[in-house]
Amino acid sequence: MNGSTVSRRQFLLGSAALGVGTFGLSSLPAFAASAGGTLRIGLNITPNKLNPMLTRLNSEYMIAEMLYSGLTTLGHDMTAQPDLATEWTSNEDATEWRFTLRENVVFSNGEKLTSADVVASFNKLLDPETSAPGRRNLGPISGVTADGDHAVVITTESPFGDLPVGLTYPTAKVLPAALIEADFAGFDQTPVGSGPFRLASFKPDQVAVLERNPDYFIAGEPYLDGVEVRTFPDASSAAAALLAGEIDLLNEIQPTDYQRVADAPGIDGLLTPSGRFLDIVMDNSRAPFNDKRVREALSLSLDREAIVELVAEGFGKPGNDSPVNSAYRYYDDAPLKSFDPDKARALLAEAGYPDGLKLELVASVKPGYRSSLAVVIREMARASGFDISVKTMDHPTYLDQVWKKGQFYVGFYNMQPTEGTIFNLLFTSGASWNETKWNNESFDALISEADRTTDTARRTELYAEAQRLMREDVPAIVPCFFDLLGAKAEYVEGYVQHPRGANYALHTVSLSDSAPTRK
Amino acid sequence: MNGFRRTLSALVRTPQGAIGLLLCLLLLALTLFGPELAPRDPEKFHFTARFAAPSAEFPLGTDWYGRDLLSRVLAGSRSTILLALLATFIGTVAGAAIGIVSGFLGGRADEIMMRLNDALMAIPSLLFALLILSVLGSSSINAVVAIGIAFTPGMARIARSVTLQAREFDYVSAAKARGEGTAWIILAELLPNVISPVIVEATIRVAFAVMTLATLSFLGLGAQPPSPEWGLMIAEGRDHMFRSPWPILVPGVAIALVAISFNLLGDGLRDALNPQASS
Repeated sequence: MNGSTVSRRQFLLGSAALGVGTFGLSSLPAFAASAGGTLRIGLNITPNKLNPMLTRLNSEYMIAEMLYSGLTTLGHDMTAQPDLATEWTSNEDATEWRFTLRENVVFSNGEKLTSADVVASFNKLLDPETSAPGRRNLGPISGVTADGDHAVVITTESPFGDLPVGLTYPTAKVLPAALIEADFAGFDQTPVGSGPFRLASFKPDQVAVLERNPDYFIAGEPYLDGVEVRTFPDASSAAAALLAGEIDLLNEIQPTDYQRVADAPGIDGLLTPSGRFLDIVMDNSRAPFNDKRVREALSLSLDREAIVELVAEGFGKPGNDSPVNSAYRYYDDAPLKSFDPDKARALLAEAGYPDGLKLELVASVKPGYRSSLAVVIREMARASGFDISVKTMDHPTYLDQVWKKGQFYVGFYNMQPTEGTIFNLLFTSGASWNETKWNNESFDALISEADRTTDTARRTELYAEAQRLMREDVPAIVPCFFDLLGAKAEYVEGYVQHPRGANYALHTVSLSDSAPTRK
Repeated sequence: MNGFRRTLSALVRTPQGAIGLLLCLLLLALTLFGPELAPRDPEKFHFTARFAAPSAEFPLGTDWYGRDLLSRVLAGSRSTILLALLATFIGTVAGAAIGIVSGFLGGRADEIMMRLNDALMAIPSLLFALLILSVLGSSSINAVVAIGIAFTPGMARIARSVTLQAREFDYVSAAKARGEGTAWIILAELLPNVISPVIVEATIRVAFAVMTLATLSFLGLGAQPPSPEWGLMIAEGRDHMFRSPWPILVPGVAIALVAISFNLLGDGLRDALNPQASS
């Protein structure tokens, strides 16, 4: 069943590529053709922040992607693709990059987009005071300057071959320079962007209505007249809405619901292997987790194959305490960590807890498998002497009180475009979200060298060593990777799930004639 | 003692009283011995028997982790029923104390206490409990306290209205004439005469407390997973509803049973304790 979904999509992709190859680019519009209609998308995590530089959630990324553009966007193969920049070149050692901008880009307030806007946006984004998430993920940028009206030059402190990919980070959007200067807070209420859609109305917790941007810089796109993003209180009601025909596309389905929804008539299940993962975050700077033996003991207490079955309903892969899996380029394959409660018990005793260790594990209720993982870990770790109580919490409270501050909680992260991004987002000492406070100097050195290296063989070595270090030192426990699960009505065409989980490319989606919302 | 026996015999003479009493005694036994009666560890996973239907091995089936539902319901009976009784007890004692004192004192003191009470009663009890929990933080015991406090204003109203009638009786005037203290009059003269409507009300409130506790746990504000609290079992089972109905059905029926039992007992007690009805 799942296999057939994947192969069907690959077939579509293949045939699209073939079409381009054989008949040239002019045949592409005929393939995607039918314009018009409103696409209704279901979400179950409310988008809160409209300011594109401050977004943190997939739902917010989706809306920001429709309203704004960045220099580059992420392809399905994790390479950088043109967005505002049509082409880019770098000097020999990858420290100076020149991005050529499109000349026909207009903001929704009617102003033309020029290199000054790009420069102002990056300066704002890189300003620590903006505290934009992922600021450090863009790359070691030291300066952004305009080169005429339609090109920018970005220089980096050190060689950084991943820069065009780094710039695809969802918060790296281009905003009008004048408004950044005059009223940056205003972007929380009133978006002014150059994306394929414009915001018509926004009711938090209910619906965001977007309509087609007639001035979008790619002629003919978007195909849709509009998009309605509806928020549902929970995942099962969103799935029910899809089955009832109230929405057309659901990009998040709980593993428990997936098979049932995918098997329903008129609906295509979407399944994409990904590096999305759940982890058990431990504060490495405080007792008891400042003792490596305690972390290792917990790591040995888990039956990872069983976790995939119980938490992901089999739609995933076991993890080895590193956030990099086979979906990444520089994955270092290693035998799966064993389930060894006796050794775990011995380690725990050695660390000074012969009678076991009492802990409280916090799990947000969204997505639902966070608390499933917490309960499963509590049960599995019981055998080796851990007495873990689970505390669930609604998502806003968790983000406010526990995330990045708590000592022991369940984290949940999307796949990132590169190894460097995920490591610099979560695990290096200078990481934007340094929640484990691992602060391991040799790890930092490996990652920063890999960032600077352009030689693939050397990078492979460095990233392999970094992954080995994480497996051995266990700054966090990564027991399980998830396949991305979604579903769409059969009449939705051109939607391909992105393995990163934060890109949607809704401007390339269209509705066939059998769609109920086509006029 | 004699009064108690008379009440009991009046209670079992009505069908709802007899059935309610029997069921409540059964539930009480379950509360005391339920967790020991559980045939299996209520938290143990059985990987090979996920979503099992009822069978000889698992009499009420299993849930999504293969946990035995019979054991979970039995183990959860203590926390669910006992906590509901505790919440009702808190609400009854606090409410009765406020109501009797207010009714006895009368005048301006009564006005002030009852207007404050009315203001609190205007908030629906579930909403009030949610409000208290958002201050206290979510845990089982906080949920009990929250429900107890939320029940207090209603109980105070009932106790006061009965007290207002009782304090006009001659024996109260006689006690005052004898020069008895306020505390003595309230405890020895008023309390025995206002207690029966309060007991009837409390019994019916137990059913509400079970349901409110379940609701709070369902909303993630009461018991925490993997506790086998019934409301929480339903909330968690909802995700798996389409694969197996048993994880929702079993605790759902259990909650319904408790609610029915205490309602029947309350109805029976109302008739038994009412002098007009017993003649």
